[in-house]
Amino acid sequence: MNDWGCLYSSIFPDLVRFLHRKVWDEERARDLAQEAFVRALRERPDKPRPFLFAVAANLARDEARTMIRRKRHLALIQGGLTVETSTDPETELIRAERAQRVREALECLSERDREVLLLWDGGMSYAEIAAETGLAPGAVGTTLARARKRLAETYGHGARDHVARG
Amino acid sequence: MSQGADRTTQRAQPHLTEGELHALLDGALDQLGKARAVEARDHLRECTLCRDALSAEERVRAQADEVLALSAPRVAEIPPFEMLVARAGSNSGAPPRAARLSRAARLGWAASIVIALGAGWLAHELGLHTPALQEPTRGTPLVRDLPTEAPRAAMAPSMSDVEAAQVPESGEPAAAAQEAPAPVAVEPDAGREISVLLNLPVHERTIATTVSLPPVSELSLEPLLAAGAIGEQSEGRNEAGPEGTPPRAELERRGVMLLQRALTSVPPAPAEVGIQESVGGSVGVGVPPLFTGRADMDRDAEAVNRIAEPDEALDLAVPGLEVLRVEWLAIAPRQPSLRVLQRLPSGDTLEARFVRAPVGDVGGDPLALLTSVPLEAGWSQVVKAHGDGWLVARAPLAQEELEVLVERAGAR
Repeated sequence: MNDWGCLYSSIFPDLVRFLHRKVWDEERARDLAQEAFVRALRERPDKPRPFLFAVAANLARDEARTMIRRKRHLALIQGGLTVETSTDPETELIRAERAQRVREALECLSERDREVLLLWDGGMSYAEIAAETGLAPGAVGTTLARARKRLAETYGHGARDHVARG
Repeated sequence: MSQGADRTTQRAQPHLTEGELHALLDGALDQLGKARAVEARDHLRECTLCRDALSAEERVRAQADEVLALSAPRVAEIPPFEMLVARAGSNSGAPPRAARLSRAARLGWAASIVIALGAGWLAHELGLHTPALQEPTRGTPLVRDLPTEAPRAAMAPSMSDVEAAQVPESGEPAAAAQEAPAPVAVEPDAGREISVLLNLPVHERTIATTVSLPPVSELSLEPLLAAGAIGEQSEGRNEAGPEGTPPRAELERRGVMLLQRALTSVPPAPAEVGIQESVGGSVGVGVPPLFTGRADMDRDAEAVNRIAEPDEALDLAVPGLEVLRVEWLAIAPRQPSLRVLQRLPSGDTLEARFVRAPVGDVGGDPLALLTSVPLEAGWSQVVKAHGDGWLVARAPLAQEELEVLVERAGAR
């Protein structure tokens, strides 16, 4: 396997994870990750990882523009597609509820904080995050500190609310 | 944060900021500068407050990681790398599920619409505008079947006719296609550049484009002039036209739609179009809704005869009705149609089909083939111009009920 093949194996899961937290659809995240790699293979950038995440972020942004339309047709999608699920419905339900709370907590972050957090989680270095977001390298840690704190707090509150509601 | 404030005043050497603590935890402290990294590490060895703070931030970091881990996607098999290499090597490449129109298709779309607007302008400049439109009557043939010899005003159907054109109850296809009218014999205005902003709903973005008009002699304007569909361009888009004529916006809408049809056999060369994309709002030029499916579908053999995604049918689906099935089906060689089945409140099925105009000799007109299928007893059929093609709907409903239902197709 050549360099690009190795790169693909190592980055693809990170890219899917990054995209999943933007589009909240696993299958779609994989599609977009593949699309990002296809573009990278065509462009052959010098710095593949930043290129891939930049393309992925743009693809996810485009995706968000159609979010409202997709939401309106959520019922159709749910009714028309077979979604891969766990064999245990209860486990699947718990998993879905957790993911939803994480999503809500992430949406409480500012766009910049969320982007930095997800880029870090996707495996980007501080320097790469700075280059991608336009932040000073010294500000990346501060942004991450704020994002992590807010995420943990918001999710904690959400979880307590969830328990209180029963 | 009081602890942080205390830390910043305790010693002459600056305490570590939250950002530096997180950079340290992330192994990125050196990226903030070698000197500061050394200084920070030295300070940390001596400062208990900073070490306590580091422990606190470590917990925050761990909590955040735990939260993120809860939303991690399932571990899935990584698609073969060779597949992506193959996709990257082909020009088409399988696009993502909510596929965009190909660049060439987008250029073609933009160019055809621009040409439509330009042609309308040209027609007006040349005094070829035929304003009168008649009230719709049932059974009027589709616009492609317009006779060429009759006086224009007398044979002009309205767009309502086109949209609600009925197929004879015998189930025969609409009148057999006649020879396309001869191009308008006027001096071409080739090379004239016009600029326009278009809002393409399927992209949710505005496209600013400049296009060189092709020679007018290449355009078959006759049916458009006959239909009175070409109106002058103006800033005001919703003012009423002369008495008895629809508002200008409606004329433009009809003109664009009909010109797209007329231009089918003369696709604009993408090379002639300079295109620039930017995110922006609608400029409302009356462009009919583009179909959400792939415009290059008819050139993608793999895409035919397959179950489609529900969101490929948004412009066909009637809101509020359950979508039972969406699929691409070839009804003639290289002429796919998108078929959407929805459940009616009665439990019966509404079938909607979308077909595009044939391009070249492809072995049959898909619309004619589609509408030639006999109707079952008790069923009605509606044929309606839709985006860059035609929508054919069938259901066990009264004709009027079906027409009302189809009017809602694609409503958001």
